[in-house]
Amino acid sequence: MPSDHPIPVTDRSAATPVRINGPAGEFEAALPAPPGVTILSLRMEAGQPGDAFRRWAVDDCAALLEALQDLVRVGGTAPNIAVIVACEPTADPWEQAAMEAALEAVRGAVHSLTPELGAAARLNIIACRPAGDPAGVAAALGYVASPGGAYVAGSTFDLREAS
Amino acid sequence: MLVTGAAGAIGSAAVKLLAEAGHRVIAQDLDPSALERLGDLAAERVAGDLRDQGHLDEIARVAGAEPLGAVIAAHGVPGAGSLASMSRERLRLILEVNAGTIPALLAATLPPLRAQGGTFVAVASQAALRGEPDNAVYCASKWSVRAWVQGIAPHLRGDGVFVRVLCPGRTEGPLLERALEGFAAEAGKTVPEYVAGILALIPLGRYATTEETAAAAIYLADPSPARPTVLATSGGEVPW
Repeated sequence: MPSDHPIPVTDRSAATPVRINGPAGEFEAALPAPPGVTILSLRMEAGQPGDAFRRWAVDDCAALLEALQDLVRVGGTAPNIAVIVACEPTADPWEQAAMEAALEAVRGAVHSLTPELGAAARLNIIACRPAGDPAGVAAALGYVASPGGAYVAGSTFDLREAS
Repeated sequence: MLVTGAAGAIGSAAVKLLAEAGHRVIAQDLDPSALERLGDLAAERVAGDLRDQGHLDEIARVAGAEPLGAVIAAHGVPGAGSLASMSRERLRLILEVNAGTIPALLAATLPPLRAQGGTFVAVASQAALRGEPDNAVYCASKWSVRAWVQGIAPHLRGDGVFVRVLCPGRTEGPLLERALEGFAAEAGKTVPEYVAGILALIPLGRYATTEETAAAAIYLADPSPARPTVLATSGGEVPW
């Protein structure tokens, strides 16, 4: 089935991180791309007009799920997928709640897909602040890509407080 | 009291309990003919699609005619199915209806809720509390609602408005039947085979009745501050 989200994600060995909900920027460009890891970035930026919940928890999550659908439909070698959810805290409680809702939507999907897909795919989440410590994100990506991290599946690396 | 999804199993049970208790009830559902199933229950009826801002405006007008004691958001669509097999249209529908309409409904009803010191109860699911294979999109929608309620509730307490989320387990009714059919198909089992396995997972050994789940929503709809923000009623299947 052809992809209808903005960025078709069918290349499991993509060399660069793919931003799901907009054009990639400096944040994605600065991410390392360990071999064998497909990196999907869902970056939420506060202060945009419109309904934040709809934008992040509905539209962006749908785009992410569609991208994951593309990846699991490709078949072949089991992908190692890292979903990066990046957001800065905002003083607007409605936006902040929408950010948390979007992250939890991603977690709910990954918690479900991990037993659903079994060994056919490995999914993990890295929650971080885009202006935070990039070394922490890089370390998490490097760990899930390494032989020592091969047993990590369905986990959330919440680096937001550490950032 | 406003009940959405009022023609559904949980919603209609809530309307019945509230009407019998003497509350003014506004019953909302997508399909006007479905609302006829409420029979002669004393409830004002509004029909429309909660994704439509025009319908939300209508709800705001009807609900805003008087201070509003509570909203019980009991609408939703089932979402069983593997991610690989789900259509893009279904995927988006599940997220839009089960998640996207909840903040929009609160925004539409917030003025009359503030006027009364009312309560907004989102009826989510035990799928808001755990991952479930072949239910990823549904879980995503319910996890987001649960997290959103937990995030927004503290900010509205100062206005005298309580926002809470009910996470019920498997409740008798057509939604459950359709979900069980979907899960059974994904598991390659007959529905009776699948149901036997499911009942064994529930410590109480049965599904909730619609009246039990409606009663839980009404408990949370009480304007007392002495209620949890998140309540699981799962027969022990998903302790929380």
